[in-house]
Amino acid sequence: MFLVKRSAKKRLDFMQKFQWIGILLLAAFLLSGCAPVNEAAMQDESAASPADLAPVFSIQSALARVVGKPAEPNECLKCHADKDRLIETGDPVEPIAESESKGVG
Amino acid sequence: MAPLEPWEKALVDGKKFPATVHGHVDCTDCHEGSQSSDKETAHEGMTARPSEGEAKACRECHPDVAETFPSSLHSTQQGYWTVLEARSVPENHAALEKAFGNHCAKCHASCGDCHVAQPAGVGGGLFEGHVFTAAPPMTRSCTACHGSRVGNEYLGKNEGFPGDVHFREGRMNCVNCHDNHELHGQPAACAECHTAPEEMSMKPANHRYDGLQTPTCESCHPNTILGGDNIEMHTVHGADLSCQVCHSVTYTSCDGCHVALSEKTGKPFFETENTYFTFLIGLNPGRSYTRPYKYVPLRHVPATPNGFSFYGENLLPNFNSLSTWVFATPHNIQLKTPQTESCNACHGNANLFLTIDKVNPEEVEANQNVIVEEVPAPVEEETGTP
Repeated sequence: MFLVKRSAKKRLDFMQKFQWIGILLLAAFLLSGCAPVNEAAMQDESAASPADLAPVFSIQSALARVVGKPAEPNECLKCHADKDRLIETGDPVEPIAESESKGVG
Repeated sequence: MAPLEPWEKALVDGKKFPATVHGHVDCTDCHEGSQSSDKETAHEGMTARPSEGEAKACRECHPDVAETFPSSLHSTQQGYWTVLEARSVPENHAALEKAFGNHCAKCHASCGDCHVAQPAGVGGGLFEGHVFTAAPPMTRSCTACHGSRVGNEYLGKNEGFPGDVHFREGRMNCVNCHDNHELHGQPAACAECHTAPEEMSMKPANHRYDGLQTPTCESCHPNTILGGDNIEMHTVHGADLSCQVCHSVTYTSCDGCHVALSEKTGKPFFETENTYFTFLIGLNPGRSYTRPYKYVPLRHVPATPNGFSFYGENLLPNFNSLSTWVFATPHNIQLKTPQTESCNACHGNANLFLTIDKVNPEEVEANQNVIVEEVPAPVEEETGTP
């Protein structure tokens, strides 16, 4: 009976001494879920699919090309949205000869 | 609509346009030229109408439409050539091509002519400050070109004759019936619904009444198909009559269009001899799987043997190979018309049929396949049998 009690106490001491190791292992396991994804590896995997290799058109891809551009001063719009400037810079209006067409076209 | 001032034609809406999808594209990506505050520099190498030709500016984002549109009737105007080739001979094609370029080609339409600006042939000018529109504005785009006949009929501009019920009652726009597949010349899209073997084997249309019938009245009025409703006239006549035989009213016909270049200005002009109202039923010159009707309304077109004489003598030696009274689909549909009043409104009524006495003697040979030799006999109204 005494021997049994002694051996149980030893086990308890051992567990108390090394319990921090278990806690560390558990924490490491849980934190691994927050690790960054290895995107390169994922791309390599998806690249293996022939279907995804085909060029896919989307209006988003076409827009991405232009929407991402840094805003530049739009000289065309500055003029073409300005009625007065259009009138000022417009070519002189040539008198249009009256059409010689007759009847319903 | 009053003609636009030059500045109005080019005025961009500085608030609305930049907020649109197309407003995110640099102007020079489509119009070329360059970004400069100096007009001359900015416009050097510029393309005012970038959707002309192969529609390169549109192709990147709209590849499906850009692929088929260049071969559509709106782009090629193939209907003109179908007729000209039938009536002429190959050695006359060069002269006719010149005439076509001067007088007919301006009716060609590009993407921009429907979606952002008025067609060049009717003066041009941006619709809404360069804001693109999926559905063309009817009067500034569709009927700006298709105005003399279809536009006037549909909108009720022919004095004394009501506009089309679809416009009067439904305020329907052209694109409510003529969908984008039809207007863009996308036959593959037509075949998604028209799946009968006969339809699948059809070649692309080479004129307006060729190929699949799009649109059809039955698409929206399916009950009118034989036995589908309780209307006796629908059951009795079946597919012998096109819908317009009973449901359209008087429309425009024209005679003798001649074209030439002005001696004073060098500019092209035309002259039609006569324009008048008609409603005449004749034989369908091209009965087919999709247009099985025996009778259709006929409109006189202004084709004439010497219409192109400015460009050469006898350029249409086979003029009589096609009729001058042609299959028509007048755009002035009514529920009730003089024809629907009774059986004998048509039966026995020679006034409604293109009989030989109504055809110009010089054109009788050309119209043999549409002239009605015997007007349908009157019927007993009580029993509805001849």
